[in-house]
Amino acid sequence: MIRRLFLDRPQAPAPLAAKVVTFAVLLLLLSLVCTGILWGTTRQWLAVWGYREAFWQGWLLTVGLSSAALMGSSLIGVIAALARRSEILVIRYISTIYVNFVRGTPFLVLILLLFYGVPQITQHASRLFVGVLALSLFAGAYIAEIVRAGIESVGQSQRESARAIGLTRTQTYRYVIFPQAIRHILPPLTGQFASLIKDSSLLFIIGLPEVTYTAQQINSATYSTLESFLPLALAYLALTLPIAVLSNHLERRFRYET
Amino acid sequence: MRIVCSAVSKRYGPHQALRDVTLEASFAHTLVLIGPSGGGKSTILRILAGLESPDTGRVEVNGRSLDFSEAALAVYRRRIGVVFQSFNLFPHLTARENLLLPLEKVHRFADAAARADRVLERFRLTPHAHKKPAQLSGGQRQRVAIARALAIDPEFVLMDEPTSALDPEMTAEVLDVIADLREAGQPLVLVTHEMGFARKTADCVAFVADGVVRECRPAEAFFAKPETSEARRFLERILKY
Repeated sequence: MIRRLFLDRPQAPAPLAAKVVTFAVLLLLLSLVCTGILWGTTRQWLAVWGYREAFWQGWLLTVGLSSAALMGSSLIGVIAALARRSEILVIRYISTIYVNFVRGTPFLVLILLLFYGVPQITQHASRLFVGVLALSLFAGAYIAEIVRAGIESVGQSQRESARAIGLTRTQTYRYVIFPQAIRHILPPLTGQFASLIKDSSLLFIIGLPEVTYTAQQINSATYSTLESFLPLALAYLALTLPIAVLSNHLERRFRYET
Repeated sequence: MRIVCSAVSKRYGPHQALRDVTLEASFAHTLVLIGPSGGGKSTILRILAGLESPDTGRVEVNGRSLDFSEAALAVYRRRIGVVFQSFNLFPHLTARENLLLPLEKVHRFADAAARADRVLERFRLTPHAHKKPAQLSGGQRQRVAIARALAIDPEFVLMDEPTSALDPEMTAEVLDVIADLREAGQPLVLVTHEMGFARKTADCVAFVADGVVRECRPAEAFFAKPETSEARRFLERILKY
């Protein structure tokens, strides 16, 4: 009987109490494990606390460059998605090559390639610009595929209907395809934005003082690893968790609305 | 209304949908295309709707020869109303917005809203004006689709099996509306499997099979005594039950 309380099935959902108890027990176990491992070692939270201002600045930079890349990658993604559907071969191929190249390459390699691979260009650009550019290009390729799938989810009959009533191509996209595609695009797109924020951590490799880079600096200065990197993880969660919640919410809303 | 096709052929990959179709139909209100499935009725309708270009041949509608360049077709399509079997309403727009989209964005009528409301009223859809297609019954959806096709005051209306996706009760509801169009003098070309309805409303019947128009005659004469044996057999089969 008790065991049945902890099963969550579509036809017999678990009671709230079971969920709370399960969660609390897991939390307790986790803290026991942590205590066991860390017992007897000393933590230097105070030393790290001294660097809170730098950490905060790093976090703000992460937020800033993620936001900039969010706009950049959306723009690139939509253009690349439309280009992949172009009737003009050159345009379609350029977009296809871009999307496949980027999606098949690790982000770290892409950053190195962009920053160190073409120094003739990047030595004149700021690290921040190269960082935002790399992140936009990287996320843009994934967004292009999300947008393309969204556009293709709108059926042929809708396009035909739009043609029959006399809408032009541009009008068809604006009034018929995009408004319907957006419900297929938004949930995975918000998820992609969470990835983008996490991926921005790799920009530490070109010395961009975002939050991961800052945490490493703090670690070097204080020789305290856990105290530097645990707040780092929490700093990312503070950004990505709300987005994950939003993404789930959008997914549910659009699923039931049709 | 007058429709003339001469030597019209259309091929989809290996499938020859139309072979040298010749059709000459003059009728006051309604031309009905009947015939077995896959015989080419819909293809003829799609060519008349400007949604498809024939591979060869000439089509003339009301004395004007159709120019099958995409630009010319785009202009041509604006003058006609098309109703599809599967309604093809825009699911993200309400019934009223479905009517308004072509009125505002294609035809740019100054009185678009008044027009939309008038047509909704005429089809007794006013109570459903602000519902999305998903909230409407099949019959209501098809009535909205017909209203959308008519709101622009089309030169003529084309309907491709407008009741095939509906149950009998909704079929009757939609057929009533189509019969009213005839009363109102709206020229109409209709593909349908509803023989009883075809018999009652058609001025002219074209029997299409195997990619060819086998015969095209006044409805009364056709239903009284089909000339070709294919048409005779088709009618016998269909009227058997």
